Amino acid sequence: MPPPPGRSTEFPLLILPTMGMAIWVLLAMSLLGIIASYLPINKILKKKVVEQLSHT
Amino acid sequence: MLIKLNKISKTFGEGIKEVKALKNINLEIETGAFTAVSGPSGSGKSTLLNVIGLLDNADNGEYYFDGVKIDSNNEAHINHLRAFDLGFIFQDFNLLPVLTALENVEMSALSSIPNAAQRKTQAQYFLEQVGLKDKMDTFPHQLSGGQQQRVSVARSLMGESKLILADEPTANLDSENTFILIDLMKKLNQELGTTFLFSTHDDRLLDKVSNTINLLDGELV
Amino acid sequence: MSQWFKIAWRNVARNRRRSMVAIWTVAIVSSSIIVAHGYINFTFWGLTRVIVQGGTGNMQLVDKRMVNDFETELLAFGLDSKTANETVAKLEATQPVRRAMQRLLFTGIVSKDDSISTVFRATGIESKKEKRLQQGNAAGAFVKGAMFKDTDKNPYQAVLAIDLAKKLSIDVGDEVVLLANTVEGGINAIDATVSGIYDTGIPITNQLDIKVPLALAQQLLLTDKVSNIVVQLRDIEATKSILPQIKALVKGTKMTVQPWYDIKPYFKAVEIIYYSIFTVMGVIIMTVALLSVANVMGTTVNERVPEIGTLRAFGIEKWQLRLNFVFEGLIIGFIGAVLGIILASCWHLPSVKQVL
Repeated sequence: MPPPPGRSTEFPLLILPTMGMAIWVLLAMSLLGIIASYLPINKILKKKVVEQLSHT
Repeated sequence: MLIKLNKISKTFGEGIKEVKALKNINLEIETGAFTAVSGPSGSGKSTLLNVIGLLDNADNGEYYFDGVKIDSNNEAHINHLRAFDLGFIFQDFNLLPVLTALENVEMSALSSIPNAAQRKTQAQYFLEQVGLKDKMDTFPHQLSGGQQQRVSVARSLMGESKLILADEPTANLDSENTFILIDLMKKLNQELGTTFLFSTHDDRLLDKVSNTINLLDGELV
Repeated sequence: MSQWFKIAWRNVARNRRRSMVAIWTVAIVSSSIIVAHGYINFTFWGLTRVIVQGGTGNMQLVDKRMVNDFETELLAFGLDSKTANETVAKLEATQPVRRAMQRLLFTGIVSKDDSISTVFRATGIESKKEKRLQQGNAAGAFVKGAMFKDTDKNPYQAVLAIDLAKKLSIDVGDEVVLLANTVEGGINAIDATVSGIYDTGIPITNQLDIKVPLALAQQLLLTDKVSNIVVQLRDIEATKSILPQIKALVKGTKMTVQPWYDIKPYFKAVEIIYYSIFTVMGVIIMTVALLSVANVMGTTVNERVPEIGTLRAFGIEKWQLRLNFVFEGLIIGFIGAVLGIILASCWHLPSVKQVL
């Protein structure tokens, strides 16, 4: 990467992923999946059974 | 007396779209009966079955199941009756596509038979009874319509249901399978003593039943 | 419980194409978050080294008055040589400390052959220790010559920053005259031989910086004081955890300890800016992922409404059905995240090994 503002030396671009972030992402995405599925199913469950059965 | 309906009414829609599906229905069904509900389409057959099967509420009137008055607000009681005492056979079979025949049958008794091994044994027994002993591990899409409907008969029987409701169970079957299904239901009715109530507009089936309820425009005729 | 998981799993597998869209969305979002965080993490990792190894050290010991007041006289808040030497000995006897170095900061005028002269900002250093402080860091690298040696025998040596040397047309081996105020208010001058020219990595300091042996600085300023003591730890990342120990060490003296991140406040500013950007971007892409998965789950649920009705007709409780669908969302989220983690790991394998 080119030198950042105020510096005259170049620096290498590296990515340092951390285990902590990986675990955080795992939990966050699992929660996201739960929320994303809870919303629609909850809506459908409010309907009467006969309406659910005749749904097309 | 398993079912007693007292002045049951049900209306759909409002204003000019209003349809009186059931008008002051008084009806009694004995335990162990094999009853058909007949009438043209739009006569209220499905609505009557839905009300008796606790899938829908009546607007007015009283409903006694096995001597107990049904309170449509008591969801826990209604759910208990659905789980233990009622069984359903649907026109479109309504089997879960991701479950095998055996798993489909087992699934309906999840609440009524908490023991998994017992549930499996009973499911196997009923599948044998409907002649599908060799199709237990088959998925619905691999079965013919007649076979699927027999799976759903086995499913409805799980947990020793007192009443099996079937809304047009033969509508999607050919003549041969129609008679196989009705004969099977009749046989189970006689052997197990389970009460059957099914709707049909196929007059050929009316010879097979012990009594018929005729509906026209929401009224008993 | 297990049968609901089984059904959920089979449904995810059954709608393979649709599930894969949701899973890959989650995977890409997950890997983006991990990579973005990894980049920020690297920036701080690098910045820490630039600052700590670039001369600041892990922490510095100064006179307490230095924190809030300004020196009106040169080295008014300086540490006398007795205090400084004793403190250095104490610090170096502490296990986590790699080395402690005394420094003397001053300014003055430098000239060559009485022809050109310019201002400088100098640091008097203990060259034996300081040579190692900047190892493995591009900033502070010598472009010509080397650090002064044998300063006990000959303290009259200096190293100059690259642009300052250019301005004075100085090469290694040339003589310069350093002119500075003494602590008593007089003026003093000393000749020194240039042993090396270095790049500080920062344009502005490249025009000003000089390093001289501590002995020369003290001789020039007619003092035995030093400005501060720089502490370098064995573990560069351990500043926060070791700080209380060093604080305890100087308790009761007139000195105080400042960690590097308090000396360089821009580090905290950068941290706040980076994490603000990261949080905002994170919330945006998480929302995109949520909408995408909710869309897929909405389609799945809608398609299976009669199935839900059928199960309800058989007395299956609402919570059991919720569980069933929540498991599907969970499976998609979890598999997506695992894929995302694998994707992120592929980004830069050598650096992954370092931290993971």
